[in-house]
Amino acid sequence: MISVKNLSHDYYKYRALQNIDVEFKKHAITALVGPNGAGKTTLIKCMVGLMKPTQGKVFIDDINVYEQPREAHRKLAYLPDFFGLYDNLTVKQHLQYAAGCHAMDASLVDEAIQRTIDQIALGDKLNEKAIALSRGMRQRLAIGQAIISRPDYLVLDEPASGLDPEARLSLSKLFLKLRDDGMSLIISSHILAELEEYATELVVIRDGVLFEDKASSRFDNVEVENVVGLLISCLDDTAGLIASVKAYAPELQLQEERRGVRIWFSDDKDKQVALLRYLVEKGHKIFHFEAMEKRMQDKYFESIENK
Amino acid sequence: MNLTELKKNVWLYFSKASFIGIVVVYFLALFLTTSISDESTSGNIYAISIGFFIVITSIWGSFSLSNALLSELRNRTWVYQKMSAISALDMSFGKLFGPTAMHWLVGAIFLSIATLASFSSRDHSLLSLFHLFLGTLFLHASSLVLSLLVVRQKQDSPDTTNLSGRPFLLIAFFLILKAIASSFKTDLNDFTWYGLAINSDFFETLSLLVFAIWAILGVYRNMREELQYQNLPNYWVAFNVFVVFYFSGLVFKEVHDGVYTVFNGLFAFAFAMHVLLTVLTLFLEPINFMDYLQFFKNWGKKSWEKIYASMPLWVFSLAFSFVLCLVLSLQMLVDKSLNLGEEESYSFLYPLVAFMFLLKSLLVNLYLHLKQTKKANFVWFLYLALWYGLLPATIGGLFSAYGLFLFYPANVILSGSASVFYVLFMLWLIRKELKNGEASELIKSA
Repeated sequence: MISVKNLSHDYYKYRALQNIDVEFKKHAITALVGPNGAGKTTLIKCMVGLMKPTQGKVFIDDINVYEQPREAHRKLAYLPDFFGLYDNLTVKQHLQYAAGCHAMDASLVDEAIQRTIDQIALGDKLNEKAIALSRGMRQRLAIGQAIISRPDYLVLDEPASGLDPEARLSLSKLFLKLRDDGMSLIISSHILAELEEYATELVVIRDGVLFEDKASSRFDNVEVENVVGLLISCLDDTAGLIASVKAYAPELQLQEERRGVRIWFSDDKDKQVALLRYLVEKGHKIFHFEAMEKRMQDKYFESIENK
Repeated sequence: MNLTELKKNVWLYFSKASFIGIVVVYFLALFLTTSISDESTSGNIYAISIGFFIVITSIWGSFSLSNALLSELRNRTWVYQKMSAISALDMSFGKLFGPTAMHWLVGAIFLSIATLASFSSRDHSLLSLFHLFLGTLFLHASSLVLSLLVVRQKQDSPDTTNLSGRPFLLIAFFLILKAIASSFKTDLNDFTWYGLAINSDFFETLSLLVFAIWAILGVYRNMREELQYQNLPNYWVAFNVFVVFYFSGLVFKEVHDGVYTVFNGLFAFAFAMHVLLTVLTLFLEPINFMDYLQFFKNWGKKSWEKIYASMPLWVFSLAFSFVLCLVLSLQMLVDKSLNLGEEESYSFLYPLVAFMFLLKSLLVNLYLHLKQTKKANFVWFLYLALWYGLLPATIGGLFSAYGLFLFYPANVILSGSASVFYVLFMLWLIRKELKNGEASELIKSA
């Protein structure tokens, strides 16, 4: 687990991060979300030990990042938003270099390169120079360099920016594969749609502050699983529909929309059927009933509204 | 030893075509010169080999080395290396000899042939070749230190396109130092160091060896900093002590009507070198006011170990300059023969006035950084050139030499008063900027 404790960072003119307390779970893909200038990159740089904060600590498992940065880097790999490759080195040379950078035993290098090549699906490009690769392939090669030593954590800053849809899809699959292999990923982005595919946790940051999770009364991540939005449209009065829903389950959160009413509801299909039957029995002329997964975007805005 | 970095740099920068091309041109030059010239063949071979070594290995090598490191920053590959498991020693070795592998290899050919040529010529000694080798090593290591400092300064703005000329400055600086060094010869072939007359070739070679070792230690120390090792400023303190020791032993020569007058300045040269070191470190080290804030916080807590660890390097050199200026003043007070200027009774204060001018110049730099001036260091460089060069030259030339006391320590009382005023004025400006400027509340409260 990566624990960030009471972390603040100041630049000359302003405070970029303010008292951040957050834990990044193991074996999860955590999306670090926020608008441009929210402090995502500063938080990431502090987390990986490339920047020393004004105050606070970061632990990777039990390792204090600022006291033992080199030990921490054995457990963690980082790919910045603007990463670089050596244009005149081949894919294989890049991976050989990466293996050497992590002081890998010579007898293990070939096996590690093969494993990484399979993961990043660049087997047919092994002897191609980096300059000849597409942007998506370069991105995968850079990730390959980062993961060749099998770090426990992989931190990526805006990994999909500038990629075409096909490359994004291939990147999403790679992230899920890495998660399944036991790696924990922290991915920062301000494009929520791109995170929908793979993120399991959400951490929202804005103006250098993390948003508070009321339930746990601490700055925490917001879970996005097991919740769906039900969009219900009816021909009759929407206010009557809302009243009926509230009568059915007063605790439900709902929101009036142009097309009808959106209700945050359980993803249990039987319960959804029971709700629909109840509303029809109440005489509402329902012509549209759709279970929509609660989108990360909804969660993001919800967490901002809850602040 | 992990040779990954060396190997990568050889992959990137060792060009077989260039290697063969250089060797062919070299042998062609040897052939043409020896077949055309009437002078001694071995002398020609020696001269051409040395010339090729200086151009290809010393100068081009310095450029390649500096460019290789700066392109890591430019191409955004530096972060990956900072987080790698390669040790500072292995990284230093790889960065020092990887991009210059080809230059050293052809250099070895040039030096080998120059060595063979030196056997049949009494004019050339093996010591000169060793001297050249050490000079190149010193130049390469210094170039790498300079580039590492640039990398630290420009970590967040990878625009290093305008920095490729820096090794030129270094080479110019090196040549100036060589010229200055000749001023220390007390007769044609000797240096006097702490009263010992030492053969100049031997002394220069030994000095180069020691300075090359310091430069390599500088590479290692800066590499440690970049690779995030816990890094105490011990090397810098030790280097400052060494500079006091080395330069205090030198004796300066003055020539009047063909007669040498020996001027034993003792701490004067060491003081001058520390002034230079203070200015250079302030110019080259990144100025981060948040780090300074941390330093003051540690100061408030009287946490001496942390104060020592977080102290900017220029502060150490400034402290050494201050101590040396006090010692020098005392020395001048006791030994009247050392006094400069006309007002003998006050001239022992001259080093203190010089120190105040130094302090004023440093405060100007800090103020420029506080104001977040674009290219603050470059503006400071211009200011130094104007203040200490162009303005006094113009005023002295056009009007009167009396006004020069305003620009540098020309007169103990007048310059001393002016320097105190400058320092107080700069402190007032800095205080005002901190109070009303754009710095965050955190800095203002500190």
